[in-house]
Amino acid sequence: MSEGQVSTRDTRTPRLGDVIIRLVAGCLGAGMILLPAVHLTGRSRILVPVGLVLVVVSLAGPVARWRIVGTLAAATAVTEAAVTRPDLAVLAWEGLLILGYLLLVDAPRGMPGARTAHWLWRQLPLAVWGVVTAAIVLVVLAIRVPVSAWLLVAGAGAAVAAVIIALPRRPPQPREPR
Amino acid sequence: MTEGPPKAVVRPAPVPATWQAAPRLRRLATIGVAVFLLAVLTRHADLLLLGAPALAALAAARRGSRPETLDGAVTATPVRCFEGEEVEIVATVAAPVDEVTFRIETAPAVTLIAGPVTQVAVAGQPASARWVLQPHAWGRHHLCTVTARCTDGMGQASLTLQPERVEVFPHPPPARASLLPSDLLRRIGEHTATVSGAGIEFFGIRGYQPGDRLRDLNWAVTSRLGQPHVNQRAALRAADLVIMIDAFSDVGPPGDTSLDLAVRGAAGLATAYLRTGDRVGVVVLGGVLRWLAPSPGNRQFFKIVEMAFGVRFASEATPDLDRVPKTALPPRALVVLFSPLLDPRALNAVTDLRQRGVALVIVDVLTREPPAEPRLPFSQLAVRLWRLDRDALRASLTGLGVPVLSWDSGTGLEGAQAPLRGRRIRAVR
Repeated sequence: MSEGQVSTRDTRTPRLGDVIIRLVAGCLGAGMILLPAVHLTGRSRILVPVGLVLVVVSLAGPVARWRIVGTLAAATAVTEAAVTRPDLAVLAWEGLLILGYLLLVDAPRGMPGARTAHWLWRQLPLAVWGVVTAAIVLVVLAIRVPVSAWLLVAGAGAAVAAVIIALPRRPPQPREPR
Repeated sequence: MTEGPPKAVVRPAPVPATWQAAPRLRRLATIGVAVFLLAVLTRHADLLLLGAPALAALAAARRGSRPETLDGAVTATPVRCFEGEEVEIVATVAAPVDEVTFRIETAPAVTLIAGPVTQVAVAGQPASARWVLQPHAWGRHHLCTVTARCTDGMGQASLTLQPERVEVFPHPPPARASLLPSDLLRRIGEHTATVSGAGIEFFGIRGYQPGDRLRDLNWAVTSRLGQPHVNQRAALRAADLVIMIDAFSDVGPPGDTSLDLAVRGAAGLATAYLRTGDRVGVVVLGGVLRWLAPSPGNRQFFKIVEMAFGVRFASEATPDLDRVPKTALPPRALVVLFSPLLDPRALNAVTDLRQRGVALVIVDVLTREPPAEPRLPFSQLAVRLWRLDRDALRASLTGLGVPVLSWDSGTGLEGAQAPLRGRRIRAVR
């Protein structure tokens, strides 16, 4: 049995809001790949085309529905930054670009203009929190402290707290009678 | 249908929801944890700047209410339609969630003609989606499956919703009530009989007899022969049509199988004969042998079609036409068998009908040949042999006095009926 068909009218026309979100996400993705790229040398330059391809593929094409592609693109950007070790300001920008890309790459497709604006408005608090956190971490790292291990411990605590707060808890399943 | 399209009223029903981590949560957590590990392993706290925004967004995300059940429903309107007509599908999720993404998957032989495949409703707006579908295959079936993915905070739950079954009636192709048995019923109808009567068609001329109407006098013949002669007119009689559907074989792509074609043809013929006031019945060969005694009127059309809904029922049983009562297969009825002529049990039924002495016409509904595999050496030869075998079968049936008509789905039945136009079908034993 073959699959059903899709045709005519407004089923295949990409919506303007959809296109804009993809474009902005693409720009953010390209930015997160290209920002640390200037410091890359030797074989590590291969990360740039790989990252750009992953960004493009995560936004368009048949592989876009594989969510791991977007994660891999962000991981490539992190790897670039880890290899080049740029300035703190560049790292902060890189973190914000990664956040922006990860927020927008998840945007549902096929939203009309008004719904796109509404959806973007709901993402704003997350972006603001990201900016504020990046600023705080930037300030903390810019101030030289003799013991940095505490900072790592604090970061680890924050990460664990974030996961505990955000992860959904599955309701207990009633045990089936034997 | 004279009544308006029936509306489907389905209230959103609570569906148990299993909440899972949303893809966004997994992404942000993966990047955040990876950055943290990288910072620890490389002993560079600076790298924390890469993952800090992602972790902050993760922590700031709303946890959401995450109800244990979500109210969702899908309606299809109308619930009865003909092939090619439009059916509106409306999916609704009534739950306090951030975002609902609806995605429709159409059934085979159903075309989505309006509405994007994926539709999104954001919190604060009514969570509903609308599509227009066009079914191309008759039957009683689910036209689509709608998946509603509800996202609330960083959690996600999926609902799979199906509208109720829609009854899709076969679209009757244009046909004429031109296939007639040689011996019509004694009932008044619209078909010109081979005996004189009170119709309007010219039948013959005979000498005047006391009681004849003066306006029937044929003045030209009377003046030429010197004796009064009158025109005779043919009687108008009704016919009984019994449509047989061979449901033993069903070959072809969905929506255009031989059985689809047979039922469409049956609907076309039934419409044409019922329009002229004839009685139409149906016998379904295949699966459980079922029949419907000939009867006139528009209601009979829907009875026939509803019976045809159940023909897709695989069975190895051989039909015993002796079980069909005489009322369902009257002696003077014309029997039209829609068959792809593939199953020997259908051919046995033809033999049985011949022994009963009914006027029989076969409409061959097989429009596709078996595909030839070019890589196999004798594939083309096999197809040619198959073609010759079918030609021989059709010739043998024609030789026995059973006309075999070919009908392609792309044309009306009128074209297929053309070879028998003006001919009366005789019962052959």
